[in-house]
Amino acid sequence: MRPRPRLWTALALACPILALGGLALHSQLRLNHGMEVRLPVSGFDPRDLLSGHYLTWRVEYGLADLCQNVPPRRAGADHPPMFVCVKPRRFAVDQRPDRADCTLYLAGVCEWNRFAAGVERFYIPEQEARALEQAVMQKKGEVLLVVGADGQAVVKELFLEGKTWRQYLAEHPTR
Amino acid sequence: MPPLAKRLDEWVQADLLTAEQASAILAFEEARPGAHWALIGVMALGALVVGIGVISVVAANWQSIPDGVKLLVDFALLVLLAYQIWRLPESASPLWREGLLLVYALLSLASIGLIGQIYHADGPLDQTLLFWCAMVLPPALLTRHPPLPWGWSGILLAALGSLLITSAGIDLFPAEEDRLVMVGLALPLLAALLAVLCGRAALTVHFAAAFRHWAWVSGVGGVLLLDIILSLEPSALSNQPLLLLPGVVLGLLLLIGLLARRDLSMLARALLAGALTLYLLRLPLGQLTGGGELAAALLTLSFLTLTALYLGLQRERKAFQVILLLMGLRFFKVYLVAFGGLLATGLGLIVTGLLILGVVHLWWKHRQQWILWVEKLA
Repeated sequence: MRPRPRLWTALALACPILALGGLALHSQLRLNHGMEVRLPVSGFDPRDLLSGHYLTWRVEYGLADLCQNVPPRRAGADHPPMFVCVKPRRFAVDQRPDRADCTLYLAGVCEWNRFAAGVERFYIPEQEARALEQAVMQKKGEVLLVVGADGQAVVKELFLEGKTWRQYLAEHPTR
Repeated sequence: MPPLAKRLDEWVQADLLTAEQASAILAFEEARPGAHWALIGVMALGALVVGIGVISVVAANWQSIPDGVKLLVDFALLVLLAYQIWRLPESASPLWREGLLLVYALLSLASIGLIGQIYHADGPLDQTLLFWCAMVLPPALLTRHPPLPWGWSGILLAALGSLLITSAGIDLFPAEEDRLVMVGLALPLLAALLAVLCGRAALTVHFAAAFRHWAWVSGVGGVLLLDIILSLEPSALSNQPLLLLPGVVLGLLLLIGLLARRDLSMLARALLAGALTLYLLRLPLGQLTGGGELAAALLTLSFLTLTALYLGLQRERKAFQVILLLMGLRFFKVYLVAFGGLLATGLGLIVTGLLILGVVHLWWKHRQQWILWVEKLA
């Protein structure tokens, strides 16, 4: 086989680094730009082999009609877009809320009668999993989200009893 | 002493070769890309263990290290590995090169996990793996040995299959079993098509063998799985012709390409075409016959027979033996169902086995005439 030019080899090897750099940058930019909102959560703790222990939770939006009376998916179509307006609180299907009526909204889908906005996961240290899981199950938890203009949100922090989870664990050592 | 060296030695002793010629042949074979397959296999294991170790360390969640430092160390490792691979001369040991490429690919996967962990990203695993496949493809094209192309192609097919099952045609086929059949039928054919396409370019030729391998494994596995499902519950799968459409389209493309292949003998093309046709018709014929055991066995064994004959013709010894074993197991099931008990099954199998031995004996006695006949056909 003919030796490959060194430049092509360098470019080929650079691809994963550039892709990963782009992924990290995109994630950081989403975290740095957007409006913050704090919402209560309740949940449980499975395991992800790729990324370790994480909590999954249900965000308590405080809406009785959330994911109720959602129209069935049309043949060949994706889930219809759904929105939870945070300020003021209401649930909307298909139509993006008007900025005049809703200053902050989350975009997501309804799956098994739950609103999923891609913010239902939080990675935690394996050794602290039990303590954090119990705290969240006891409804002591709140999640701090950063919401972009398009309604896409990312998780910024987990609060337990009003403190960050690290502060909470320092005050409630497990060992 | 390795088999080739032993045989060369015997040929030299029998004055068929000179000692210099034997040494030259041995040196030539040693220099082949696949010559160090055992060492490469062990090297791949070592690299895989390193990769899994790195993934496990990421998974343990380094609480005390700031996220910025984790990312910095991760990217520094990636850059270091990439640099080491880049500066390897062409004359470098293939083990080093392949090992580094494999570790680089696995570290890239671990890095996705690390970024997901730091930013609490919530995304489906199949999409994550497809992203990894896309970004690792350029360095994977630098490889010259099996491990990385095989791993990459296997992960690509699995992730693609999973994505298609969970989303493709979800409204046309609400039952997940139906989507499983649709994708399960089409995926091996897609792998076969990718094998054909990859074989056409020098850059992707190492992927051709990988895709071919997965096509055979998933195709034969799919036929056997369908056999089990239809024999246990004939009405388990819906009778919708649309289920077969993607598979039929891919199958027709493959058939056209196959018939145009001049590098294969006429007999090989006929055997492959026959196996492909039986593969496509397995489900509809199985449903037409109402799931009867004998009909199911006939269809599956016919498919396996054509596959075995083709593999035997191509001198793929190990694959040939695996197919023969599967045929034996399927025979056993037929007899068990047909005769209803171990004693009768056993007697039936003894008779069949004696028949097979008889056929083999006849073939061995008249093999020259058989080979001449086959060569005329080819």
